[in-house]
Amino acid sequence: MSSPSSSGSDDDLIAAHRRGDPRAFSELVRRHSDRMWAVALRTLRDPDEAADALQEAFLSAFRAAGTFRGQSQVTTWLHRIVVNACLDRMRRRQARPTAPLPEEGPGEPTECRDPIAERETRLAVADALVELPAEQRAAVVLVDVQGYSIAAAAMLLGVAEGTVKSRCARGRAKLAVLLGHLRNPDAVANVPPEVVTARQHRREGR
Amino acid sequence: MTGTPGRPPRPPDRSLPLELLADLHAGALDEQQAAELRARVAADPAARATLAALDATVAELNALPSPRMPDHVAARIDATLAAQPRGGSAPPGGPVVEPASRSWRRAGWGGVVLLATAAAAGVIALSGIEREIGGNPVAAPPPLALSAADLGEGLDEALGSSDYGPLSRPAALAACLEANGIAVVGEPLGAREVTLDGRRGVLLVLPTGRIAQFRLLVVGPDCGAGTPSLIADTVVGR
Repeated sequence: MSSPSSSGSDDDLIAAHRRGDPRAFSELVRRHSDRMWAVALRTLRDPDEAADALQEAFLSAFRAAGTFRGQSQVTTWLHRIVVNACLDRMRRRQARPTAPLPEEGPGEPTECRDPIAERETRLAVADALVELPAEQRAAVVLVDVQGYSIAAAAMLLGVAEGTVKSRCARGRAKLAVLLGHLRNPDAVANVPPEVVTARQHRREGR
Repeated sequence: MTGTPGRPPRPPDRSLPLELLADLHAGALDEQQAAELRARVAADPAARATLAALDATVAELNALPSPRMPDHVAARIDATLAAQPRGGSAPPGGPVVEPASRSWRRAGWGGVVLLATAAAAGVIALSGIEREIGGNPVAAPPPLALSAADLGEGLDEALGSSDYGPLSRPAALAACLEANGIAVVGEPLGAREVTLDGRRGVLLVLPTGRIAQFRLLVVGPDCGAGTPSLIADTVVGR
């Protein structure tokens, strides 16, 4: 059964949800699910964590929809809740050691459109992102992976545009070393030498 | 700044700090700083190589594919949202059904798959259910009139509804499910008081393990420990 509101705008869906349309919020989630899944998976890397973060975020948004007053776009509001949920999880996880993840998790695309070498590079990039501190990772994922503008990323992260640029700068610098584009790990603060060595060894070994 | 103009570059030792070059690359410096630094970079092959490395890094990040949300994750989120009480955004303190996937997931990958596996094994979780019992009761809708032939039509009405009627107490629901051979570790996806071919009962929506497929259980109002009071048990959906 299709909801009368399913073809409306995001604002229409929020309004319908607040009126009690049981399908409106699910439709809103469906519209944005792929983009938000990409943000969650790229920041958290672990598909289980990404799924939990999204579920928490959407449930929070579901409960908070009554307080949405339209100062921002529905999309921005929803994305911000998702980004916050991911940041919370990243911060919590950084407080404990990370377990190695399989090279290809269930959340990775199963379709291989690229040469093997390129695919391995992409997986290495996804792995390397996890090495960044939460705030830097979120900024890099939003701007460099998902293609948000600096202004949009700043709005989603709730920080100044300059802060987003600075976080991107720090994150890219670390990634440049982790990915082997720069060979002098000593120049980068906060990158454990063993991590750099492992990454470079893996890349050089293939 | 550690660079000394005129000193020959000695890669991989950069004459300009990586962090400063990264700030330049990211547009994080003010115009004056950036202009001064660009002039130095122009004369510094190592610095130019560093900027190229940052470009390559960004290009790799740009090239990461954008994965689509897996169907089982979408289904799990759908089920969680569907299990919320109707009426849109509940007022503060209003009834909220917690996502049962928190307990389902830990046994393995995929909450819906797990939910389904549990249901297939006759296991339904009740933990974490927060229903409106006492306090500010929500007026229950009148029983939904169904016939055995069109029981499936009750799915839309029951999914996400928390109208448990005589099974409102979690312990009563647990006892009823146990009497029907369904071990208790989670929660149904919805409940609705019904009349099925004129018989009063409660329609419970249970997961099956398949996306968009549900088990519909109708039990009589006296369902409880040792009394299954089963009226109907069918699977609907694809």
